[in-house]
Amino acid sequence: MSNASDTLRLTLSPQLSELTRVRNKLDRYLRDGSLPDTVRCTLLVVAEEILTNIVHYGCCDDTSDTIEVKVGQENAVVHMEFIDSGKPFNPLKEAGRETAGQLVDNLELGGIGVRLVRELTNHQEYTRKAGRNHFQITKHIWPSK
Amino acid sequence: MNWTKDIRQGNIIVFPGEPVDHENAEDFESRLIPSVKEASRSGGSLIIDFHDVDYMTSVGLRALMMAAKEAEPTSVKILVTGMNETMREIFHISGFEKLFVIHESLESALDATAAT
Repeated sequence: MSNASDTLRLTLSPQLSELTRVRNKLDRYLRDGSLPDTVRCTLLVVAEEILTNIVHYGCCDDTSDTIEVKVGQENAVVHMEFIDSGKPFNPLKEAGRETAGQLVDNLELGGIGVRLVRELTNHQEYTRKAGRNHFQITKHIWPSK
Repeated sequence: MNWTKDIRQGNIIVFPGEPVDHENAEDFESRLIPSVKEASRSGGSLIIDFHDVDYMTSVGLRALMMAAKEAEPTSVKILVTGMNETMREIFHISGFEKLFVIHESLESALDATAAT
């Protein structure tokens, strides 16, 4: 398993065209950490859903704004943090409360993405600090959720 | 996409062959919808084999939803098979177990189409 100090740090523009680069780097990092495939795959899903929601519904009015992604592993837990300087945006509150049946009927909304994030991870937390949104998730490696 | 297709017993079987996310969801949908129409013309079912589809994000789920809506007014049944643990979990979370009949194997999906 990766050393706790091996943190992946990425900076991206708030554009969907950046998602491929992020996915590829994140996938390589997670594979290098020898994670179970189920954990790796769920984290790839989670990262895309969060970033898509930030780009669509949160960040950013200024083209010079960026989104930072930090990923690390410690004591069989993977931590991911997404930081952006856009308007206050908490995806946990603003989407994802629908039932599964409502999600099937309303796939155009961001709700299903947040529902996936909530159910595929062990903990989610949003904070707003110094004008920036911080969205963090944790995923236990053993046993997988 | 690593998309391949087969026809067995009048059923259209499609193999997306890779994870479905932002990069290929549009391509996935553009292949899936015509497959529903082809199944309708042949009078069979559409089987989606998710072998090698390690995961799918919500844009891929949306494409599946479009396929289900395309099939709704027809007699086409959509069956899915070959799902790994992550895909089964995603289907469960999203409620897609209600939309699609899930089979453990392609053979069992084909048996099910033969029984109807």
